[in-house]
Amino acid sequence: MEHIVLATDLKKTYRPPHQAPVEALRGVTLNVEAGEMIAITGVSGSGKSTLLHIIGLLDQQTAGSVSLRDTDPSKLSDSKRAKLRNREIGFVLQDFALIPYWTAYRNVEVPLIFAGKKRKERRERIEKLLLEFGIPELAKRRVSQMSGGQRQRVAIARALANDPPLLLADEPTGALDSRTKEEIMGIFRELHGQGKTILIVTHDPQIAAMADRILTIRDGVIVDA
Amino acid sequence: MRRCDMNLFLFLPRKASQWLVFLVSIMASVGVTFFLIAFICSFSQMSVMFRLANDWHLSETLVYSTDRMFSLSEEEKLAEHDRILSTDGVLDVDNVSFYSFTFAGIDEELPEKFLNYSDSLLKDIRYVLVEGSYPSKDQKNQILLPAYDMKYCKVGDTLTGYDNTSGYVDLRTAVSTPIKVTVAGFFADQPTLNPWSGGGLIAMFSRHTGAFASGIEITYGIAFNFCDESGDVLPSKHTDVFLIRTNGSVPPGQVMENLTSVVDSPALLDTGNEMIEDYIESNKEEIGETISLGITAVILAFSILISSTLLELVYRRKEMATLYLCGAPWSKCLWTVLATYILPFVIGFPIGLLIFAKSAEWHLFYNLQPKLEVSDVLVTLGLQVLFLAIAILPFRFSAKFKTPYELFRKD
Repeated sequence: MEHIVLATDLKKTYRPPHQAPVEALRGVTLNVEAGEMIAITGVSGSGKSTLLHIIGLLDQQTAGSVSLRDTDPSKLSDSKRAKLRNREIGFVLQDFALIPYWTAYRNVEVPLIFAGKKRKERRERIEKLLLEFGIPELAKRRVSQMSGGQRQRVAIARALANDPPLLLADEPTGALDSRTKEEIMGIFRELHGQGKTILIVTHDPQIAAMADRILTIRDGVIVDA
Repeated sequence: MRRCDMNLFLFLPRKASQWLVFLVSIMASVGVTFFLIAFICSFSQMSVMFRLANDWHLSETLVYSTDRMFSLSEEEKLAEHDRILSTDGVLDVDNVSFYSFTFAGIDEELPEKFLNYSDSLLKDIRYVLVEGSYPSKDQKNQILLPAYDMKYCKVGDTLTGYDNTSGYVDLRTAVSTPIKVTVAGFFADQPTLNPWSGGGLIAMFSRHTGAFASGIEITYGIAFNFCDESGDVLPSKHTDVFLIRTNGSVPPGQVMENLTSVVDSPALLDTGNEMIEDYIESNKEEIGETISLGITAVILAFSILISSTLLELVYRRKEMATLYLCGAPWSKCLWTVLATYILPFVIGFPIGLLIFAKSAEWHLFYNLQPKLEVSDVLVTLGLQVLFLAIAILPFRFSAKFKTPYELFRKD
């Protein structure tokens, strides 16, 4: 099996000004294989989001190494890391991270713009994605005028815009009601079925139960795998 | 290029409140540009006198004019010249002289007056030429004319002049021998804040205005090596004004004391510094206006341009983080958002300049003569960019300590 993520002895220490240093990760080793769905659980402040952000190239570890499909991002410039993030990773976050006064179309278009896709190519891809997630009629509607479920569908569509092999989700159903949560879980199940590699940070046992593996983090270390 | 264009338009206003902010930003940019260019223009006009004074080494120079009511003969003037020159601490002394000529083809009704640069300390002063160049020492019968005479002749033209230095010449009855002079160039108008103050050097010599008014208004023209047909130097007429340069071994104040017993009218002996102080005193309004314009420009820049840019950057931090999440490097996120600020600036800057240029017709200023000079525009542009940098740098600096991903942290 192909390794998508290989993290070895990851450590992360935050040094907030005028406060004692915080050790968010204290030696995490993780191997994620292609097509796997892994749930990362743990109490608030345990370090699970930090792990996700380091794997997602949003932040850098203090010590240890992480490689993404055999590329070591720590050796890349900010610009090359951004390209790698754009091509290889899709993010789905609890608060959606969408630009509220933009339409769904425009939000999904952003990663495609940064990937240098041409207008026609972008339009075809966006239309396909919105159709796939059952929201073609929302293309021209502003995100601020959408429900939580609709927003999360737009966020998932955006995460998949460049068809990345790795999907990182941080509490993707945390802000949704139970019915909408089921719908989003269904989408993740479907994506997993299509062979996407998915890492989900969650408190929700229902979501965690969908995963191939469940990792529990406590005080910055994996205590149960 | 395509990606760059797309980024620029990513954050164009899309809702009413954003359009409002966009329009306010344009107005802010117009306002800041207008007051900045007004300040810089006012400053450069006001400082012309000081630059001239510097060119003239006025701080080491004394100016003396004989009592204008007591008209000295040429011999007496030269005798006084010799007495001044032999005084301790005096390096050089020049009794400013001029020629009066009437030229066929320029303006037949008005005699043109020309400062004699060949034998005057004035020759150190180099006025800005709009066309042509200063003649070399060997070139004879060369003139520099004020720019408004460009409608009558051009550089290289040979003009026939009638010497009128010793009295008025009517061309219809002219009997003096004509000489031919060549136009070497045209010098720019000498701007002062108040166009009625006399212009040029005269404004600096308010105490000697009477003497200067007797015939050496700088804007009339400058003569170099005026000779007759046989090559003999044409005599110029000396004025009542003496320029006295000190040799540096004795302070100008001491030289002034030494000269008091030498000259006929000690009350009309001044150090250059005194005249600079006089100039400042008599131009307080202009200086006050310049300072007011500067303060207004800075207040506007800080209160609107800088603060709104900084607030916008902070307010849109999450949007930048979203772009970062989608695969843009952090610097690109910053510039994508800033593009919305650069656009109003690009629109507002020329409008501000245009309004300033037009304000000359509207008489918006009490003293300032609005005039767009390339150098002033470039300085204004540089300051605007500096103001934007002031707004951006703290944000950019803080971004090093708080990465965009932290905006997505929950725990």
